Amino acid sequence: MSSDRSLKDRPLSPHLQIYKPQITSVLSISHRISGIFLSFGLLAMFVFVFLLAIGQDYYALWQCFSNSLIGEVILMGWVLALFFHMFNGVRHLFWDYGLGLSLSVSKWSGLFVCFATIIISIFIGIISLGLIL
Amino acid sequence: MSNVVKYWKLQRYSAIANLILALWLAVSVICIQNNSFQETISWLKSPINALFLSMFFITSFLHMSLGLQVVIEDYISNILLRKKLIVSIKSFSWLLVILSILLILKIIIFN
Repeated sequence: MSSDRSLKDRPLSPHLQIYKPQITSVLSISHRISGIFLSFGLLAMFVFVFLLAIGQDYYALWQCFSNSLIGEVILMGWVLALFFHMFNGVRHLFWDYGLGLSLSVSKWSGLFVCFATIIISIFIGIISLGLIL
Repeated sequence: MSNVVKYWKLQRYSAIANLILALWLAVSVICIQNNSFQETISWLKSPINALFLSMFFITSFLHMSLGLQVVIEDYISNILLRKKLIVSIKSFSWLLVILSILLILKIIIFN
């Protein structure tokens, strides 16, 4: 960032709503949305450690949250967002090395990211409900 | 090395670190999700868990602040507001990283 002047001259990101949604663009914006959503998950992790550190009575608040239906839905949302962001992030790391940039490969890797996210989230959901293991 | 290149590299290094640490965290959370208070405390008192959780907080807050910075730079056109938001997020991240490590140390020493 050299000066305010040069920052003002830079264009903003194009507006999403004028483009036809495609798997590549939908996954790209989902990566950002899941990242923002995971910021709240990280805050929750901090709150978890904070409540654990200040005592058993306060930790019970966390257990109240994580055992409630809304808590379970939010926690499952973070699992879904975490694995999506993780798999799609690996896709981004390959792109940074110049691998898999062609249209066909990025479509296939995008589909693979969705598939892997859904499979692992269902798996974790089943474990958490105590149905297996 | 320019700031932009430094941020770009830091974002990738923290991503690779998070790949390992977030996987460890996910497995751990599944294992301890039905634990009592005392069981969770003794889980955190094991040195490897305390170390990994501290490292997770450091790399994740770094990755979060760099990621949110890019989002803010892309969508907030008011330069002054943009700078204020980025500085707030960075300060907030640093604060929470330091606090989380202090809290983990508190649990190890006093519980």
